[in-house]
Amino acid sequence: MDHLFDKEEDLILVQETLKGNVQSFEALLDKYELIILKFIYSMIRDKETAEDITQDVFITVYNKLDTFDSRYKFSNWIMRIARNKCIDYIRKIKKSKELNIEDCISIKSRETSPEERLEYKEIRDFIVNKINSLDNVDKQIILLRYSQKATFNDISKILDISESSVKRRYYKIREQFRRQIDLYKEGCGYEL
Amino acid sequence: MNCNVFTKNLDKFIADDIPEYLKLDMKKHMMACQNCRMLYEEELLLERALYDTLSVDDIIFESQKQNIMNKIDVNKYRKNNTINFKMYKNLLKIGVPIAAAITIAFFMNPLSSFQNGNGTIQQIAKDNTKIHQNQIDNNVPRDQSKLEIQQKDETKTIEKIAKVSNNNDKIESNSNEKIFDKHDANKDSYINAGGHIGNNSDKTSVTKPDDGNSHNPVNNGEAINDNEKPNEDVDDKNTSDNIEEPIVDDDKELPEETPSLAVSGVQPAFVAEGLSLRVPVSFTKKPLDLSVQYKLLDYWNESPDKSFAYYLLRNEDMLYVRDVLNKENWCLELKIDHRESTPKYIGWDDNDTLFIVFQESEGEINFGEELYTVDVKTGNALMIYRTFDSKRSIVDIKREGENIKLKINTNKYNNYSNSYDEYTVYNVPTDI
Repeated sequence: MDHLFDKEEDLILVQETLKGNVQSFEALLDKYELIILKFIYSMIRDKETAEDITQDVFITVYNKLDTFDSRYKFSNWIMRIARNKCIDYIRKIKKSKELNIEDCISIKSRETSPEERLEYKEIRDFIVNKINSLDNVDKQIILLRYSQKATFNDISKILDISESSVKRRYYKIREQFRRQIDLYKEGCGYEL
Repeated sequence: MNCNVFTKNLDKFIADDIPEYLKLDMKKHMMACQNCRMLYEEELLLERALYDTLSVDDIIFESQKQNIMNKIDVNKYRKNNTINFKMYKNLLKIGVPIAAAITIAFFMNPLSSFQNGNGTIQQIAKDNTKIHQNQIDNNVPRDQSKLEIQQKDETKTIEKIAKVSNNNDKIESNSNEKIFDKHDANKDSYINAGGHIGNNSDKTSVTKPDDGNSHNPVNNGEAINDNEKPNEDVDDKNTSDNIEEPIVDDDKELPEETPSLAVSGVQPAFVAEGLSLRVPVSFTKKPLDLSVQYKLLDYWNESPDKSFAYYLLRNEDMLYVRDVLNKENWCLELKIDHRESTPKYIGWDDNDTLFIVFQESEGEINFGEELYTVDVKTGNALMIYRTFDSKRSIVDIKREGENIKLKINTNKYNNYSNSYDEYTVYNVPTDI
């Protein structure tokens, strides 16, 4: 997500857009469209819906660009808008509980031995189940961290919580994952 | 580095959330400790599983760019629209504060609404500021002065700035221009509390500036050199009797449009009360005894540039002054001829001028406060402001260029309510 942090370039594009230069907004669109699509998809897990919401996000960004505070990163601002649109969508269609990460995820192939591959798939399945059981904020932290490669600081800005809170939640989730994977590997299959 | 520390920091190591030195230590530890290396590899596996699970890199999305561009209003931020938006924004920025200030000024001051009901603010101010142009002796009772004032029909040198105007966006600039113009026309109209005071003067000795220098302040804050205007009604022989050199011609008056001290605010005390100004205190320069100098070694309050220092000995009404650079010391003896004026506040105006606030009282009765600037080199003093009211007190003084901003606290309803008004005294010289 490092490429998102070219704050100066983004600010110039924003200012140019506000001067009426539509090409600058197109440049912003080119830069952030795929990122926003992926981010929304990681939360919604529906390709068409992600594309629709992405449209909505960029239209909102354009219409409210004059309210953007240049002291902040444009990337964080647009991610927050995207996140809010996703939450609105989930609330609206009441589908949040029905969304299943597993349905939409295809694991990238990698060269591993059959034993490794089996173990890896088990871990991956376990993670999918575990992520689905996380609360909304924890899920967003994990999604932003692993699907967007966002830093803790950026996650804190996007979710509007403190960086220390993000880190605390993140390490707690990882600790839970590790502990439960250990239990799983030991053959219990259940958390005691 | 031991295994416990390694395990404790492993998550942070993976997340690249530890200091560089700790990262190096952990790497070294992994080289030596097989168990910790295995732990690290397990963590890496979890990390990779998370990335792989949540990765959306393999999803092929359709670009929405064209749809988005079709749906936005590409003219929204075009120049004309931007100008219109900015224009409205600027109008709001200017208009809203001015409207709020006018509303507050109107409602905060109950007298203003009363006055409005009986005539315009300016008319009331004019009626109430019939200031006697004569030099009034310090011993003249307040009531007597008041009676005299009510009989006069002269114009005071104070202008009320906070005027209600329909042309809101020009209020401030217009007011300021007016004041500056008037000041230029009558530069020597200042209130001088001390004038040039002789060292051996037993009684209040106030002398008119002898060179007619336009920058010299004149006593009592009245423009006294204007001989062209006839005095309409001045009859105050008693007050001039005690003055060695009467500096005010009773037959002359100040033109209406030539203010010397301009005070802005909701209701300037001068305007409201219409009392004449007096010369209640003076500062007589005297040499300082060596023993006193020694006693005061640790008590000096230095000026901003540390060139002068003062110390006020309240019980002796002595203001001790030290010229730090030339290593000279002297004292300014406070001569307070009327009632009981006691210094309430003292502080530096600039490097050689002090602000002093006197509280005027008689027994337990408080008659208000007076603000002076005092030149520590000469003892010359200039009265800047007078509250004329026991319920009003000066709580903050700030110089901004040639102007002095005052914050006045008004105690209402038997101390149950305070309100703060800000006044600006314009064109107060730094050299007295």
